[in-house]
Amino acid sequence: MNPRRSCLVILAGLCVLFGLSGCDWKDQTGFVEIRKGVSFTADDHLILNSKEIANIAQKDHAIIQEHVGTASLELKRGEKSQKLCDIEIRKDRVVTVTITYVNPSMRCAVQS
Amino acid sequence: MRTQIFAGTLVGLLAATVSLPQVYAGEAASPPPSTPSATSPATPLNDFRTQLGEVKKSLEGVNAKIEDRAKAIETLSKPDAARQQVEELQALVAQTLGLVADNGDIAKLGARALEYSRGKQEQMRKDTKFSAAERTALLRRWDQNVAEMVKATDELSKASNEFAQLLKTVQTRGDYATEILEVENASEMVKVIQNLAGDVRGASEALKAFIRTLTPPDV
Repeated sequence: MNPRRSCLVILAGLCVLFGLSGCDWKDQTGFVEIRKGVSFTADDHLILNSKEIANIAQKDHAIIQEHVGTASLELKRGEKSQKLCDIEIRKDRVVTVTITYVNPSMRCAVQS
Repeated sequence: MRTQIFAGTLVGLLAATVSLPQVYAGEAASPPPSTPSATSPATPLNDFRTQLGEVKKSLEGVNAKIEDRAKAIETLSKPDAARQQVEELQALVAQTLGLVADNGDIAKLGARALEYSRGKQEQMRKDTKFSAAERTALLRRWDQNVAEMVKATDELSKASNEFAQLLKTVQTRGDYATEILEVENASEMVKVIQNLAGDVRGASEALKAFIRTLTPPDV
């Protein structure tokens, strides 16, 4: 198969793939409710699936819409990064994640 | 060369497709910002005010639909229909929660507008261009604006919390009904779902009262 044809085949495949699932993004999401049982400093950043949750230091909770599947929650403190937990996100459902201190580090409890 | 061109097209298409979700979510969550009039310059404040007004309208509409759905649930007698109604209700509440989620378009606009107001507040504090009286008057307006913006963004956050609690109620009752069905007591399952209608209607009344307090900030 010549390069042009293979590219067209890939293109068509992607169009079908994204046409069916990409446009359904809104239909394929759930929510993560993050509750803070600890206070954060300005240096603490919560990262859900590589995206920072804005202003989490100033809030006691946050509701984040996210794709269905397994999401990873991390705490970034300065240069250090610590994985807190994996969260299973299901369609049109809320999963609650409570962040607490379990000596000496932060942990999260997940309730779906 | 041709391969490179096609690869470029592919990357372009991918980039466009990857950005689709945000566009899609944005379309669902909020209409395009209003065109500024001659008297109101285009600022993040105008965009936020317009879109918050639209979100409020959407919430009112959706709340009415939630009430209708709750009424329909009360009359159910068959387990399949009951389960379907709960799933539809769950989807409806989830769709609404998407409007007010912390990573939604309206919340981002709110954060941008608040940042803008705080910037203007700071600018007026440091101003040397206007007279003392003018500066004081402008600063007072920006102080008031910042206070209103903080209130509006707090209300949005409360709205997302309220809808999250409602969604949790619906999903938990739905899960319980499924468990009941699994132990083969269909009539009990229908009863559980009918009771859910009462919970939803109660929450809906509370939401209605709350939505009335959701005030777009004055600009």
